[in-house]
Amino acid sequence: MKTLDQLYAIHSKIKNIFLALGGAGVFVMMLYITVDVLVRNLSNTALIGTFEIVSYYIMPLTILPSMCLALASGVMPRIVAMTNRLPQKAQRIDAIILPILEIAAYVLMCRFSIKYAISATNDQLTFIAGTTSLPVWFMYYLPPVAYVMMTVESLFVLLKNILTGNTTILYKGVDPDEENASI
Amino acid sequence: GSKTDAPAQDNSNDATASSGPNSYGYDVSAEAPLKIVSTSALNATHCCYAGFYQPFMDLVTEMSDGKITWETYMSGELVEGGKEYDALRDGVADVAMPLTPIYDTSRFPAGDVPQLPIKVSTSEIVSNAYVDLLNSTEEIADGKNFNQLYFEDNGVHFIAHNNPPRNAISTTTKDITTMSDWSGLIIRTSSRPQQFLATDLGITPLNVTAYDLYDTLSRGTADGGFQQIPDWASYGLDELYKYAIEGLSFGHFTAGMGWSKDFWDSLPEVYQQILTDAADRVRPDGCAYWDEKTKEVKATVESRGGKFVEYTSLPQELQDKVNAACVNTWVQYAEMLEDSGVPGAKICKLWRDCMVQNGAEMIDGVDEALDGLIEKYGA
Amino acid sequence: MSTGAAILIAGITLIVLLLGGLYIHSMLLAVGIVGIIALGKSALLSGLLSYTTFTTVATYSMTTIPLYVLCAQLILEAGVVEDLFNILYNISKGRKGVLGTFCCILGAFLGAVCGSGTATSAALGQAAYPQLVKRGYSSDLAAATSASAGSLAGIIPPSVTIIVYGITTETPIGRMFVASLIPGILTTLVFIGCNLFFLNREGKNKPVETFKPVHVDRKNAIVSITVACIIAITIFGGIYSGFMTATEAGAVSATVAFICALCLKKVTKDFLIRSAKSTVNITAMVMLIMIGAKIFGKFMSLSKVSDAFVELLQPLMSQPKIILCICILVYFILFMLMEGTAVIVMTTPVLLPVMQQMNVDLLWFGIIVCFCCVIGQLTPPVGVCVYSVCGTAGIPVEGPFKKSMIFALVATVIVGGLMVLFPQVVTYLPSMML
Ligand code: NA
Ligand code: NA
Repeated sequence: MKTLDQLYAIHSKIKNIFLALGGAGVFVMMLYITVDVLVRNLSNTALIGTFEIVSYYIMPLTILPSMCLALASGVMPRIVAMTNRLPQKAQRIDAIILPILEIAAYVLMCRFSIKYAISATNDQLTFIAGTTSLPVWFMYYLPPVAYVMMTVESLFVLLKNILTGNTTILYKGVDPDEENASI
Repeated sequence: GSKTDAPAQDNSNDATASSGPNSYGYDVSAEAPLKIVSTSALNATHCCYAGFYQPFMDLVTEMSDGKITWETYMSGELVEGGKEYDALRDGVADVAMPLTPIYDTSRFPAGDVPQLPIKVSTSEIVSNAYVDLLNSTEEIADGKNFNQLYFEDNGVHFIAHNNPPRNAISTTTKDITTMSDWSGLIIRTSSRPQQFLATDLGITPLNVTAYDLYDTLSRGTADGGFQQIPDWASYGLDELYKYAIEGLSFGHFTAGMGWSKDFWDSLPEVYQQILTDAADRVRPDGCAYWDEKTKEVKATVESRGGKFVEYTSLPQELQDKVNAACVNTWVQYAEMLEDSGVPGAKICKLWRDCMVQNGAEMIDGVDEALDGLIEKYGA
Repeated sequence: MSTGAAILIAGITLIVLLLGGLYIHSMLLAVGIVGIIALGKSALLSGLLSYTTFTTVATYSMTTIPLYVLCAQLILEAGVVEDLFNILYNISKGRKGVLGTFCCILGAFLGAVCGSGTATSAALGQAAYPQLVKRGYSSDLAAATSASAGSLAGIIPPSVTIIVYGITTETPIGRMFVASLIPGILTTLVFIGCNLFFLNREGKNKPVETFKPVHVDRKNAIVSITVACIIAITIFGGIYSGFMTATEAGAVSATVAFICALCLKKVTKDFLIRSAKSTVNITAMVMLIMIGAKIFGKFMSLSKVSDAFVELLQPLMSQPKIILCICILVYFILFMLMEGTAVIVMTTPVLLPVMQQMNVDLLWFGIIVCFCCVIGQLTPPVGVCVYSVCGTAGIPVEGPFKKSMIFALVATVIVGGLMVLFPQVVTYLPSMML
């Protein structure tokens, strides 16, 4: 159990790095679009490629790596009205089946996105900002990263639930703030 | 895949036919029925779909005595716009209606060449020019012609459809009579040639999606666009545009029917002939469909007080400067392609030839500039 | 396997996974994948799933989600909302009804600067809920009022729900924003009425509290009111004068909020981390659900279920009113179960052909759908606004749901009824735009 918590702490560190990236992304996007609006209105020129750079670079960098964080934070909606009424034993089984299903879904999504990332690499996929071609192929590796992170998250939940008989599908107790308490 | 221009009547495939050729001259009695999966990012009312793809599919079914049928997906419900190429390669769909090389310059590096400015052209001219471009045997590079190099080598069998009429420059606000009228205009641009031209004219380019365009124009965030006139109606822009220049084409938005080459090659020859023949039969009406729609939209705009001004009626000084900017656009575009290792000079010249053969008029100075480019980049 | 059997399998999988407690996004993913396999099209899975994650996220118009959420977070973190509450408490001499009313109006105004009901509810759960409880509201009513007020963001422009509907149906988003103004105001009024009604009932059994003015720094008060005005003017003025597009307004309003926070000297490392974390979390949540919904949607297209649904409705085609009622009912149920944008992305491709065939005004229909979505955020089992408030406040959801459901029901009857009986409620303002 202790080992699992320690490993999860490492996983959380990675999530926090991604959170920093996502947070920076939001602020960069905010300033970038604002500057674009100002330049367009205050001078007779425009920043070329804001639309594409925000779409193809900043949005994916902001959101994809942070998906695991959303998953782990418990904001993802689900219906618990029925499962809460089940007997404790059934709830425990449910709490093992659910992460397995999640893992299955994420592994599939990861596999397919890797396939696309590889073909995007082979094609050297680009997008056009104004008249300049900018590479976008490497961005297609972000979805696999996101799904690997979510698979790992679900794997932790699964292991914890098997080991402790937990009935939640969140890995509790290792919120960054509480990290020290749990180890 | 150069069997595409075999005339229908030459077909003498008689296998174990119980019945002879049908009224179109095809004998499909020996062939198995076939259901083709088609995907489109367009909706059913779009001129390409209503004027070409739908009648094309109906005609193919008829010409094949009902043996070829279709499983259609519309409005990007199965494959979102821009991912048609991947769908063909992954076998999600057999044919894209249309495939838009113009937006996919990673796979089709010169896909946006038809966006180069031209003086006089029509839907019919640009559609036939595209047919010629695909059939051209002129070597572009590595002993290959344009079609082999950019479509077949990419695993695509491409068939020309009814390409839209020219992109008009249109504004919601002001008339353009002097060069200084361009500066300060915020215009939506959506391709590299348009971007070059906009920069040369002193226009501020803006990139918004087509469905944000109404809001953008209605509030004055943008002042205009380079767009084919019939499309104005699709997005409600006919209510907003007040001024458009005629007789100068700011390029054409071209696309076409993209088949997975593997799928195409697996088809019986008679089916290939039917599909090719049907496209050729439907295309002229498809172009007329665009023209009809153009007239309708123009009438609506005029009834709302909008005006269409003939390019040649503009002050000569303005025309000279716009012409120079257009010539420069051709040069910059070709040089940009050459810089990235694509034979831009040859491709631009080939496109010019295809357009001129079909009746397009070039802007003064483009021919000379092309000669210069060919000389510069050699054969 | 026949299409019918595939749909049946997918339907059973959906119900089992939903009730089994799987996350909505994973449920959509799983049902989509199972459905495509059941249709015998597993060979297409790779081609259909490979790029959807990236393309869903790499969309410019989606920037509104993080940026409007960020804007609300910044305003909240800067303490502007709390200041406004205290000012009002003092002015109203502690009258509870005024505070509840203010909470609703505040929700409407926050809704006017923020596109996401979830975000606004979370904001009100943090700012308004404790204030209401402090002034003598029952915890349930305070939470229900905050959640209802927060849900208004979905119908008062700008709204993520409307943006998503506009994109999927190619309905001009700006016109939809204008069209949603009157229904938004009506819904606000209904929520105010519900709040006052419940308050009256509660008030009968409770002694009136003694009023003690709260100290609000005069400078702070002026600053807070100014900030609220500046942001409102930036957005409305900016969009309507053509300075920026509705999409860009998200970024500009967030920047303005950020500058205000800087001026108020509230920006610390903690402040930035908290704002960024909430923003990224909520955005990633919405995006994950949208990705699931897209994959589910691909299964729906492949199954041609929309054709079947349209076929089913065919005998009723001459009775658009009945079809509309059926559709609204279906939406109501779907929104009870699911996150709003997911429902819209999933259902519009199915229903759109029906609406087009009946010549239903897509703008009017869209506002009705977005209204259903707002209502659905207040009803169990999936009422994200109530979850948001209760989550932030740390209270159980059952009590607030009992009240918020009545808010939802009354609004449905009054505002929904008005929109169906008098479409002008929706269409009048946009028709004035030309
Ligand atoms: Na809103
Ligand atoms: Na609900």
